[in-house]
Amino acid sequence: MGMTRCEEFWNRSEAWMENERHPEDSDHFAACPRCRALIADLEMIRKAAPLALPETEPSARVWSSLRAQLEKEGLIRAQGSKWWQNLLPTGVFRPALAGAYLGLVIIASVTFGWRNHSKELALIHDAWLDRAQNAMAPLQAQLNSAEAKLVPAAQTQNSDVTATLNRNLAIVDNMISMCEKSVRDDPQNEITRDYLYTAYQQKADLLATMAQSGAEGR
Amino acid sequence: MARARRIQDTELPEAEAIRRAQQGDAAAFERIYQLHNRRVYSLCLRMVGNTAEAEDLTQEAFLQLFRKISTFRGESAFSTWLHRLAVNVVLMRLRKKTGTESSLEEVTEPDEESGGPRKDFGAPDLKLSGSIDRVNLKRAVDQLPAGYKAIFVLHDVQGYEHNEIADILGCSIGNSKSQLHKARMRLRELLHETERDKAREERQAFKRDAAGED
Repeated sequence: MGMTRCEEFWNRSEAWMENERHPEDSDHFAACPRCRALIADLEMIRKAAPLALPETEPSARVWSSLRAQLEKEGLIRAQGSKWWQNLLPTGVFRPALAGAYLGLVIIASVTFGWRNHSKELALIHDAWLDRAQNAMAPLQAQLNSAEAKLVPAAQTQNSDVTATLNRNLAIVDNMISMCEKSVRDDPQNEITRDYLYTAYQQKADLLATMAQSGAEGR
Repeated sequence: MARARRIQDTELPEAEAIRRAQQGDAAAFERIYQLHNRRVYSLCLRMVGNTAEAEDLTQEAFLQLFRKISTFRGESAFSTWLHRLAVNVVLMRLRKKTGTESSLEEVTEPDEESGGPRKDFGAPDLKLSGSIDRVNLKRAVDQLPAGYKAIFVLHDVQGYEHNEIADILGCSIGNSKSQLHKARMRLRELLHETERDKAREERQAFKRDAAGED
């Protein structure tokens, strides 16, 4: 039994969609509701795809860990020193911020490390939550201690810079308290935990900037 | 000064960023990442359907890119080169998961039993209703075999041409066209199935309601 006109059209529908149309198909297309429906559906899928699947951005941690890996492999040379190395001139503040930095590293490894081992995930998930919660508390204390030492010192420097830094510090503190509340409300939620970690990191960065501006002002 | 440098770096043209990255400039690496991370991540996300895994794959793709960037001579478009790396990273992961050693060609040639479209000319379905529900389409794309999915995402979502896809996937242009068509045909079937399921559920709910009124 030979192919029906619909079968022939379907076999050539790929070309039709690429605007390479067989002369015989146009008449059939005009007359056949089934083949018109096929093409209409394929067109609709093509148009709907970019709207249904919009591009999204990965979280900031992808670049942070990528950069860390690139530095580890010696593929990039950093411009200037790392932020925490900028604390060197302000020796008195260094231990507190270095502790906070270490805390961030621990949290990052505890928070994100488990995701890369999905097979072990079920076993360690509860332990991870406990450890992550415990790791956040000393970090906050370290950041608060660094802030207590840095802020009064920074106020003796350029008043405009100090005002800007203080304003930014207030914003970050506000963000931290909102994130902490979210983590308390929903301790199992990874996203809120990510946000809190990022907020702590921003505070550490800001304090490092304050330390640096303090050192440059002296 | 540092601030001025930072602003300059964020506006660096791609070619210049590549040149600087080849010399190990950290800011140039970041610029390249900024230019391409959304596309690469979105491709990975569509392929694996899981954000944590997609991020992991994005990182791996860029890591491979930066390890090899000194060998880039500009014969092909940079984004094509990067996407080729990303697709290979994803396919390697999928192969590890399924435990098969299939080549890219096999991945782009799924047989009908493993998710290819059927040619069912006697099917009662006509046109899909008015518009396509985005959630349903997303769910249907998730169900496509990896090869179809890659070509569909690259062409219909990210807007690559068939010659570029052929470069990325290492297949012929004809193969890219044919796989794209099969992917759309399979999506149509899946969307029709969803519509049928929905209609069936509605009929059942109507019957239950009618029985409850009696």
